[in-house]
Amino acid sequence: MARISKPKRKRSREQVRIWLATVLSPLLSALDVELQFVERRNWSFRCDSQDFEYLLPTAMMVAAPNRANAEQMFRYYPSLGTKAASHDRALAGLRDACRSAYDKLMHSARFLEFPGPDNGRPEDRKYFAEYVINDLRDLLSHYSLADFWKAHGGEYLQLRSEPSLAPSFVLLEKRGDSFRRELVALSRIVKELQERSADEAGLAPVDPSLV
Amino acid sequence: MAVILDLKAAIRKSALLLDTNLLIHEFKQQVSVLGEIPRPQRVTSPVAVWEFVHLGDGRMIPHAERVERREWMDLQGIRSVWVSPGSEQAFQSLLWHTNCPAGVADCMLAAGSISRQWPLVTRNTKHFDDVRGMFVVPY
Repeated sequence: MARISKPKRKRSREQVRIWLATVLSPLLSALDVELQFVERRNWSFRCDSQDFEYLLPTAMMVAAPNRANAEQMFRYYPSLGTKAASHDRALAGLRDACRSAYDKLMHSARFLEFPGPDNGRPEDRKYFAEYVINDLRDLLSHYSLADFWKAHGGEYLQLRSEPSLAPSFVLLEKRGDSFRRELVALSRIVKELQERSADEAGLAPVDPSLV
Repeated sequence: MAVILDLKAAIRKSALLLDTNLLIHEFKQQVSVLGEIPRPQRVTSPVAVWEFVHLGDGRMIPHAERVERREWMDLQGIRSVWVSPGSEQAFQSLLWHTNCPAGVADCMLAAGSISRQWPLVTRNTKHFDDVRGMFVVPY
């Protein structure tokens, strides 16, 4: 586990208070959401945006007007900045792998010949591709495609190991593992920093007015 | 007249107040604006949340979907903030002027937006065209 060395520069109590509220708490909250999805191997990839719904670059985890506070923290704790950059790089790699696997699926003859729901719409297929990318076995019962996916989702998901598609999904899994590693490492370092800096400054880690 | 801001400029300024139409469009994945708004800046009003969980005729949406919408808001980090003390004054000012938005929900949203100086992200920019002192971000 990465340890954070004590910063060489002295931090004021006020500075720590602001870091806790504007950088560390928002980071942890966003990283917790990422962990929830990543542990389920659901990348929250969306076909329309071709991006993730719940996995974000670290810059999007901190409010834009407070971004300078994050940058100041990165200067005081370079290992935090390094871990954040690694998280973002791994996220970009995972995004590329999702897009590429999605594209392969949408051009796969096997995928395109699979059955669709009665009275289905042509655009349903892009959602099936999204579910395959996110390895989604069940949909909530009120989804219009829930019954169809319950009956046929398994067949669709097996496409992940179909010879013409398997390399894309192997790469996707590899990038997913790599992102998970970076995410866990960043979460740990942020959590440790939150606890330590709050204790040293005699502050509570979380300001209840922000919850 | 309301001041129209572009999303990037608004994000540099403050938190953003999300109108009901954006909540619905994002939840249904019909647009992807939220991805451009940093998580801590995603704020909405209880009025918008009320509309988000009710149908046009005032009936509540079914329980399972309501729960899903609430979880979605939590995962997206969208905070519902109660009316600010300044909202009352802004609401009263709007109430007696012809530039007041037509519906009470829009009037409450406008009051919240003016009092906090948080731009409102909405598709219904016309509803707020005449509201002086308000920032509006179309999407």
